[in-house]
Amino acid sequence: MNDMTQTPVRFGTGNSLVGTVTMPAQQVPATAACLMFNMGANHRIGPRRINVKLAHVLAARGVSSLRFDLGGVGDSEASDFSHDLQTRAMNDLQAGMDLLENTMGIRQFVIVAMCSGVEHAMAVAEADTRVVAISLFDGFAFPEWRSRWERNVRRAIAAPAHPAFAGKAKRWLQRHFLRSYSTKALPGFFTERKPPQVNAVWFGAAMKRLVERKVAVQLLYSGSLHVSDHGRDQLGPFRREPFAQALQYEFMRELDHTFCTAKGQQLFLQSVGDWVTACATGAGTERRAVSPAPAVAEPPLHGAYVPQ
Amino acid sequence: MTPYPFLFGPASRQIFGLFHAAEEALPGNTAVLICPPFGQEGMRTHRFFKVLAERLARAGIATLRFDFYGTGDSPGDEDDGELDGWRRDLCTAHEELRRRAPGSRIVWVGARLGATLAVLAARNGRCDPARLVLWEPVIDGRRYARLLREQHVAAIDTTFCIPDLAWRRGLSREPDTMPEEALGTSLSATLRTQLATLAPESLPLTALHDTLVLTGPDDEQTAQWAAEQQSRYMPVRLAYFQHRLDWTSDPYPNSAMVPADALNRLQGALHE
Repeated sequence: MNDMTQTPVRFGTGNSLVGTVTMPAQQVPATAACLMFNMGANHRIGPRRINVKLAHVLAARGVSSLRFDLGGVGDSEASDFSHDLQTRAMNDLQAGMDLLENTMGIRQFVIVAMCSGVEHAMAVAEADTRVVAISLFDGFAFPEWRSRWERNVRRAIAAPAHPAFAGKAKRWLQRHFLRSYSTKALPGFFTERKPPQVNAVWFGAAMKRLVERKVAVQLLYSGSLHVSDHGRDQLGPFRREPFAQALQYEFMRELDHTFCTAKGQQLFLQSVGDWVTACATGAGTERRAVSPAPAVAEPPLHGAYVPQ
Repeated sequence: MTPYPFLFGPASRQIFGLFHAAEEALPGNTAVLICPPFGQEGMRTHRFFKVLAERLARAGIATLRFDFYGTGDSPGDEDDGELDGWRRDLCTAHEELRRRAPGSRIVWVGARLGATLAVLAARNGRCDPARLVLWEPVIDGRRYARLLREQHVAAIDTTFCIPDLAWRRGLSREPDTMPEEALGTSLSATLRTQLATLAPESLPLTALHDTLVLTGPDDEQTAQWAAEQQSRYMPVRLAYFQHRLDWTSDPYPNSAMVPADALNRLQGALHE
């Protein structure tokens, strides 16, 4: 691994946070760096080590990165209980940016967030203008009745031939009818639980503001959620919003939520690696408005948002 | 005390480590080297061994956690992973712990394939642990690979909205094939060959150190292996131990990450 350097770091308030900085060794680093952090209870290497693999891909393309554990997860200590989870996560992400700014002089950042981390990434991108791009994997989704109906029909058709559906049905029954069988995260552990309507309002407003501020946004959805996706189904009613046309959207049927297969990992690394590299190397003021080309070309809807 | 993250080892093969210094360390104390499991089992137990290391440090036992090359937070690609290199990594980590906790009696605590690597490294003569604690060591590479494949297929079934039947068909058609990937981790060609030849008879213990083997009450193969070592007058003891840690699952509410029973048993094993 001579084409990169990796440096373990402690940083943040009281040096409570643990992470690893990966830098390209043979070339001048891009003007923006990438931040990666936890997905659920997985530590900073990401589920199935995907963050490490992405850090290697990015370093080979000249992009530095910091992967780290939020306070209280992985190896990082929870140092601040005076704020809510969201605020603590934002503080930790900003501490990561401060570290790279102070040590490497990097002032622009691309955040790669997954699942419960999506909300944290959006919140810090709203609050901190150093964030120029966010890649959001399996975060907020608002499928409408048509896509839910199609999913259920396809599952019903597949069920008789598939031995896995007996187990899936059992787990569904356990989740919904057994009090002792909980699959819900503890309140406030990874993300604050809010009613769906509240999430939707917040998501729409936050996305609108981010796109207006020319923060590049990549939305990725896995095959764990749905079987098919026609016309940005996961955005539900938001796909008709002007801001939605400025987002890069990709439904990755062959990738699952936990990156279980090598093929799925390759698809993710290709898509996110390309996108982050494009954002990081084009992170100057003039180029921030230029989002990388969407993976799936779609005709613009009426009233589409056009970056200024 | 806050653990200290760092890289160590030769420049061409750096390894990530976290050193938990002992609180109130005394000369002649015990120090512990944690040898983590492979792949998803290693990721699954990250939190467990973090908590164990913190407990040990508070009890005056310095502890070094590390990731084998090409795994976890260490540099390297998964395609570089193989037993001989990892065995050398373990000895490198041993020397690093000796340097950071001089004069200590070093105990290796290995789990699953990490325990197997501890056996391989300890009989190599390059490093000299005082004691091995082996938690469900992998002593049959083919059986282990089969388990990983089965868990991989189960994970595919669980995680996809509609699972790909090809994984199940492949498993039932060729159940003994060595997997090229399992639960998100690539198995190199060398590693697959090494696992194919890994058998109880290829894991003889030596008399240079004491060994404690912890395994489930239904694991007859490991019990037989330990008995064979005893019949060779090796200083080994077998203890049955049941726990709630699911080695290969993703962390979720019904699957404990740091079960107290396992934590207490591992900590207690250091004083037996």
